[in-house]
Amino acid sequence: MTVRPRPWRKALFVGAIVVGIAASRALMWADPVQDKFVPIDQLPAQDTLPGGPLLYAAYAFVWGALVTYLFVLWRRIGRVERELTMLAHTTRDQPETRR
Amino acid sequence: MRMTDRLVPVLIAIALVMFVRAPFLLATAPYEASMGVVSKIFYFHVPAAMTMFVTAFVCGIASVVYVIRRSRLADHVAVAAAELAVLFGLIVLVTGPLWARKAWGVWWQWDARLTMTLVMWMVFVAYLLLRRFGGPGSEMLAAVVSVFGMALVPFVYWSVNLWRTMHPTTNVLPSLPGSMLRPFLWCLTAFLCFYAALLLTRVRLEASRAALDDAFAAREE
Repeated sequence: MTVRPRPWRKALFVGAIVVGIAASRALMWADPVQDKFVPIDQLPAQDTLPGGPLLYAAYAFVWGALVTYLFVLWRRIGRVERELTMLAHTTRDQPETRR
Repeated sequence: MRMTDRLVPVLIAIALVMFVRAPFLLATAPYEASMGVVSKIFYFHVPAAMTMFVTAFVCGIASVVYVIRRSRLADHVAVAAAELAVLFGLIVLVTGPLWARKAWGVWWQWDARLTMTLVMWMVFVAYLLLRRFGGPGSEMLAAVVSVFGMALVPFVYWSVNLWRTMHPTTNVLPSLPGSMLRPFLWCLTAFLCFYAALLLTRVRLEASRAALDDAFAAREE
């Protein structure tokens, strides 16, 4: 029994070799191995995370938290003192029922 | 007018002026070599942490006084200090990850310092929840919880020296040059002034609340 050669197998084999060579070439060009020390100030801009926005965010949060707490505290004091005043008024206006 | 009523606006004014001036001082302070501009988060992250430690101690000591003497003033101081421990702890836990994202490349790391700070913060949150929802008699249990919170302070402080962590050690602060130490002390003073003002105000609120509760109770009798 003879096996007939299939043309698509040959094409697949050649194609795989071509893709393998192209991929290895692409990898060699795309990502060269780092073989020397790169100082941080010489990194491309896209490789460094900007610190400025994080600093501003932290400062804004500190201000926001402290001012919000101060405002909430002021309102809580106002509410309690209003209730104390109302209670004092109602107690004064009520006739004494017990003696 | 009581002395504390006069002191609070003065302290708030001093703190606000110092907070407004702080960014100009930070702008002129030198950069740290490896982290650049983001290292300046240190100038309010560390003072907030120190203020958190101070308020944890105030809460713990006031709670001990309350347990021994049943002093109402001590109880009011403990509640006020616990609430401020949660506030300053929140500032520490938010500004820290903002710095870590740049310095370490991650927002959070489960290392000893960060985890213990979170646990300490949660202890004071637990204290406030106990006071809010614990019902009558919860003051004593809450006081014991706050003593545990105070006991955590030395562990949190020395955790960076005792265990292997990513967090900078306690040696950073003594090694600061004068040009960085001055803005740091400026910010620390601002935080402590603001803390003192908030503590006095919060104690006053607690005293007013207690007076209101007493007045309602007297009215119902």
